[in-house]
Amino acid sequence: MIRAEHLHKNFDDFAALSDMTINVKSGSVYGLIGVNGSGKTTALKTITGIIRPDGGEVDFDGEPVYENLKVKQRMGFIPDDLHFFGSYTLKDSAQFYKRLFLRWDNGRYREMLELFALPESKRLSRFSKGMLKQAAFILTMATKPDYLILDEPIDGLDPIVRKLVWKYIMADVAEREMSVLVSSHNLREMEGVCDTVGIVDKGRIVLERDLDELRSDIHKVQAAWSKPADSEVIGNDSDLKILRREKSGAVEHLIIRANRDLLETKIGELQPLVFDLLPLSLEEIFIYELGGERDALKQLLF
Amino acid sequence: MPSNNYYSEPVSKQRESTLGQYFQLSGAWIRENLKRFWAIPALGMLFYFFTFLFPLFVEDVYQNTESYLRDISRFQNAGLVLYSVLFPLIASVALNRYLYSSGSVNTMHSLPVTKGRLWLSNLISGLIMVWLPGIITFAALILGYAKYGYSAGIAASLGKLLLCSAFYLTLFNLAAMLTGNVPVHIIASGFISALPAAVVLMIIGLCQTMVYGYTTRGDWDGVMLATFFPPIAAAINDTGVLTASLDGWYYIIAAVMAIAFYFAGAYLYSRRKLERAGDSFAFTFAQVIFVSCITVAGALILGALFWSIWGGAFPWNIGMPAGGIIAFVIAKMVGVKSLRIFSRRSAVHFSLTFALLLALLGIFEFGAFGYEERIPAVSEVEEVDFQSWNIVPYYSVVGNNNFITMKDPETLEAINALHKLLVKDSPLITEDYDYYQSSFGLTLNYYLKNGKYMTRYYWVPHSVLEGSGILEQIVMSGEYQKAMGIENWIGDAKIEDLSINHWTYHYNSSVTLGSAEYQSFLNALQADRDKIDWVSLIGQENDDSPLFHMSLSIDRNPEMDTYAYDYADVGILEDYTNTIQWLKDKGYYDILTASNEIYRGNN
Repeated sequence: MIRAEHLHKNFDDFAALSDMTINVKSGSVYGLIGVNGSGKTTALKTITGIIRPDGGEVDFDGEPVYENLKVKQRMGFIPDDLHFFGSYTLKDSAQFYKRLFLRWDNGRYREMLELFALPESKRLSRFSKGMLKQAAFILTMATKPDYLILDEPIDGLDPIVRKLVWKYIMADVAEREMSVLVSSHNLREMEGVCDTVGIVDKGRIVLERDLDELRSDIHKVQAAWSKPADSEVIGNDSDLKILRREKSGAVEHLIIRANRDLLETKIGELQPLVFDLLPLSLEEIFIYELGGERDALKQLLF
Repeated sequence: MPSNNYYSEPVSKQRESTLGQYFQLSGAWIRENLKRFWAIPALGMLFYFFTFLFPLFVEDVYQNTESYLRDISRFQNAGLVLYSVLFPLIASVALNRYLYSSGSVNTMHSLPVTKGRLWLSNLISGLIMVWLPGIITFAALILGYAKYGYSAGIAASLGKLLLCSAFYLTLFNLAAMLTGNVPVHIIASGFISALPAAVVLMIIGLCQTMVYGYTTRGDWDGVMLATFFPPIAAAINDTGVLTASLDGWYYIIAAVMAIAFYFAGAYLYSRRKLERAGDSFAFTFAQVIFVSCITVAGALILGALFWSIWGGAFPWNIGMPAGGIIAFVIAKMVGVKSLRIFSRRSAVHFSLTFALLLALLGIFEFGAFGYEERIPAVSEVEEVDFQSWNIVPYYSVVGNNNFITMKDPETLEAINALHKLLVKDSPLITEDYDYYQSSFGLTLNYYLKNGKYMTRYYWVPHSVLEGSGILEQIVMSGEYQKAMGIENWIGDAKIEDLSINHWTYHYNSSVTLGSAEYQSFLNALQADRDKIDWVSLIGQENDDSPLFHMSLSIDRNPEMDTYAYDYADVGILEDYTNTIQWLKDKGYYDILTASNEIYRGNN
């Protein structure tokens, strides 16, 4: 588990992190989402122990990260601005990682190298940005990290490679209970991969939700009532919280926060002419959750 | 849970101590450093090859093999000095560059290697890179040239080289921890080299000035050697008076300082904010000190520069503050790496720095310590080394700037009166002057009875002393006359050759003097010098050239405590009739013809 509690970090007069708290459970993926300059990268650098926070604590399974070799042996970090030694090839870098990381898995490295089809003997300085991302990913995953921290990981990757990258990550999450913390400035990119999403704005988490919980709590309902009064019955039910409702002729669209079973039971009892539960996108969930009022969310979505 | 057995157990709560990590090595990191920067030792080998080995193999230099080996065994080869400073700087920049960009610092510090391990591993890598070429080269020299018998000396020089290199590598690594980019790292490296000496000298200088009123050169030199270039100074000055007895101590001091630099650098690294990669300085205090010091130094240098260019139109008490403002602005721009330096913080910094500058200016301007006006009483003085430069043009020999030791009480009284006059007329002395027309340089080195030493230097317009008769009194003193007499600078030495030259026309001609002739020549020359009108000579304009110069090749008088020249240069004036007649009598017409031609041409 990665635990970052009440992080504060100032750069001169600018508060880059302001009481930020993030908890990444073992075997889960946490998406840290925010616009450029919101504090995502500073948060990741602080969590990985690259920079020291002015306040707050970071630990990995109870072990502080800063200057801690044992934690760093189990941690993989792929920054947004990648760096490799100037004259090195992927092969040189692999040898370097092999010497540094005690858990280096050469078989995995070979397997991924073949799958990603990267030239092993070509200088990394001649790689494109996307190829460098792939190279960094191969090297990091070959160290078999228990904690994987990724800063804008899929920038510059084509859709096929993106899928491949996430496939590997998800496999490790499932098989080895790897904890993943991933940042992005795009909410849509995180959909389908994150278990938890935190929206960061001005150095603090303004919203943090478990997506499964969120999805099971918020529902988009399409219904046509057998009696006009049924609409009022639903609206007055204290167990169902209506976040939004729109009527189009006889059909009404509702966004309702409630337990799914309870919702189905309550609406079923009214015997509507039409009753469908429609899928909700992550964007819609956050819009309805926040009422579309929050600046941070607006910038992420529009 | 992780499938790999290693670290599959919960992470221990025990954490390595930070201090302990600064004593741990990462073999992987050292190996990687050597792989990445192999070009540095390779360049070092090339350097050594072309500096030491290649010249030994070249035929025309080969005859000087022993000389080369002797210089190397005494650590007196400039190449060694250059190497022990330059290559540690190159290695330090290469090894610490990762701290200067956000991308590299992120990657490096997310890897499983602590700052402590990185720090020590980088130092060891640097030492290997810098030491290896020297060890190989010196081993080759010892093995290949053992027959010359300098092996022990060469081995000792190798030891000095290794220590010097280590000293500078730790110093430059310390500079790297303070800075955030390569250019400022290099500037700071030089700056730190000089800063301890500057601070210590300033403190000691001020203390001595206030407490004793005089400076003691021995202490100053000792401080300079111990703080500025301890290993280099000690090594170069193997035969020097100061270092002869302290040689070993300097190496101990250098080693202790290298260790101190190591720990200071390690501490700074542990405190360093890695997010400041790319900034000029990693610590605000370093930027503040840098800008303040550059401001003060810039004020002194630019103030002197303005004064030298514009003279009275830009007096130094205006030039110095102006220079300080310019230096502050430039240093601040470098320090904050921006042209936008006008902030509230900068204003506070500027105010404090400028207050310091004005305080210094006040000290100089108003003679706060009375240093300039302090003149030792005659009763306090043991002797004075008197050096005049261009005071009596073309009379003195061998560059006419020898020190003349004065002990006679009457002469000391005259020197005291002269010094008082100079201090009284100091505003005149600081006026603009014409180097070639009406001024002379004067150095007074006082050796006091209490063992202290005091030195003062002035550049004096003749007008200051006009009519006082003090200078004439000194010049006509027995001690001065004796020092300037022919017998003093030639003694029993044998003159073998006479040559004539005219500097303006680049003419020279020479004859070999017979052994029986030189005494009569000296007699004629002495007769001419005896009739010189000293009073008219003093204040003579410097561009009143003599008729011609004669250079006398001599065996230097070993008793003469002056420069080790093996020739004497004498200006022959128009009224040196005895000397000119002697040349005619001996038939050295070519000299006279040449001089006549030159003389005619000159007029």
